[in-house]
Amino acid sequence: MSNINFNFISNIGDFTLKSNSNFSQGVNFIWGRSGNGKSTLLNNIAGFITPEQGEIIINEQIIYSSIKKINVPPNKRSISYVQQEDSLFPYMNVLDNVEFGYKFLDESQKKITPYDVIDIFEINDLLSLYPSQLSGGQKQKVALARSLARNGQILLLDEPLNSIDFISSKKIYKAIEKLSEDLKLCVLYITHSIDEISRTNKEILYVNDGNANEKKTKDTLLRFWDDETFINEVHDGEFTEKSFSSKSVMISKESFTHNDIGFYFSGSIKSILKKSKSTLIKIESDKDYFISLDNDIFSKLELEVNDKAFCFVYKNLFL
Amino acid sequence: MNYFEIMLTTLKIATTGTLICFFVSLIIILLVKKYKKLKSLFDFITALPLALPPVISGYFIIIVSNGNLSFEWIGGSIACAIISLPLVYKMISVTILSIDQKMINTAKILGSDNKHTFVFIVFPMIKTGFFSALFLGFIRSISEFGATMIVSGNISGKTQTLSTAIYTSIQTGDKSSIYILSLISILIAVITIFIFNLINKKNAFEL
Repeated sequence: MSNINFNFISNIGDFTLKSNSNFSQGVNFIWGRSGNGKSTLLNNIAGFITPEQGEIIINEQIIYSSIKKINVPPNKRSISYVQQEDSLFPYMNVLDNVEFGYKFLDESQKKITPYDVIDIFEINDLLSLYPSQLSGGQKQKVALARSLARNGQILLLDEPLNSIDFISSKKIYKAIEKLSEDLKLCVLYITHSIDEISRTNKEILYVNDGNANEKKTKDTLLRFWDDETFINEVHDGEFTEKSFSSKSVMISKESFTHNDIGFYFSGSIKSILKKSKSTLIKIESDKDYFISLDNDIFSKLELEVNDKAFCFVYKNLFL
Repeated sequence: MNYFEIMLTTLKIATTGTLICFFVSLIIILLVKKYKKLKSLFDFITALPLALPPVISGYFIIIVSNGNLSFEWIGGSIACAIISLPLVYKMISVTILSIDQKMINTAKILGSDNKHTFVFIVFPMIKTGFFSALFLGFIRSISEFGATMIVSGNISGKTQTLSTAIYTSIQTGDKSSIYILSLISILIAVITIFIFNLINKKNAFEL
């Protein structure tokens, strides 16, 4: 069963990351605001950055230890990693990109083939195209496929579904979950979105101001949520007496229909958490959803616990 | 006048000069990458031939070599190398600076060792820039006159290039030689630029 333990300190210029945690098989979320050290954490695990001191162990094998003077190079670490920004090789077509890591594997390491992942991510039609001919979402799918075809012992994902549309992102997330079960894979999944972490029941590593050593439950973490981190631009919309609409979300006490691409749900309000500038509403439907509204909008809507709420979320704000 | 011999001498001096210039530029850039404090100094030195009259660069070569390179074809090549240095150095420098470290990291995490990373990732990134540097150096060397004339002279069958042969023909009023030599020069320039554009176009399409 795939697992990772790490305990290290890493310095980049004035920024120091102190991390101490462990993860087992399944999708493990790492949450924190931008610039707090999430990507630095994964870059240290991948070997792109060398920690000052500490230890990183994957499946009981030490890949970095300052005391034992071990520092396994990135190409020997057996890690699949999808970075935040586009990193497809521009001179190779999609098929060559996906097959790139697979050709360096021994027979014993080959659990899943490039064509398996090509099927999973439904990119069969793109194989002869070059990255410059792909959309942002397609690039992200190819990067995911290439990374999984590398057959790493753990999978690092740095906001992998950012450029993918709502319907595809939901499918892909399910595929990642299934692959982590089938391949007994430990997945470290970075997000700064509350919506994404609301999907997990596992504890979440909270990264804040260079500290990555505290795991929290989903509900505990929501108390650390701050005004700007959830659905953006909620203050931009139109407000009527019974509904609110913005570029991100529509919410109403009455039923409505919407033709745009997005996700429609309804449920009853289970809790309301008021903060200084905005209010977080927990809506119970097929699962729990969280909507953040500016305080002045919330007060105009006159929503209360146990009220029925109808919501429409545009594009990929929810998984 | 043996036009074929003049053309061969020109190509020999220009090609050798281009290769010397290319590898000297590469060594300087790798040094600068390692010792970053030297960058301003080398940027200044490599830009000098662009600002100085070529005859001064030529005279400098004679002084430094203690006259050993005078009237030798290799002296002409070194003169070409020094005159081309500002262009070639800049081109290679920009190319190396544009290497995307993220791509190299990605290749490594996908299991690629240094050799494969260079062949499959780094080389495709630098090849257009390096070819451009070589072609720029070659085109500049073909048309070089001042420094070459000072260092290697204008010895028929030994160091006489197209430029120096045209100069001799003008001095002697040999119009037919001027036209033939000019035509050869134009043909070499056209073919070189055509190949240069073809390679650039092919790489642009791949991207």
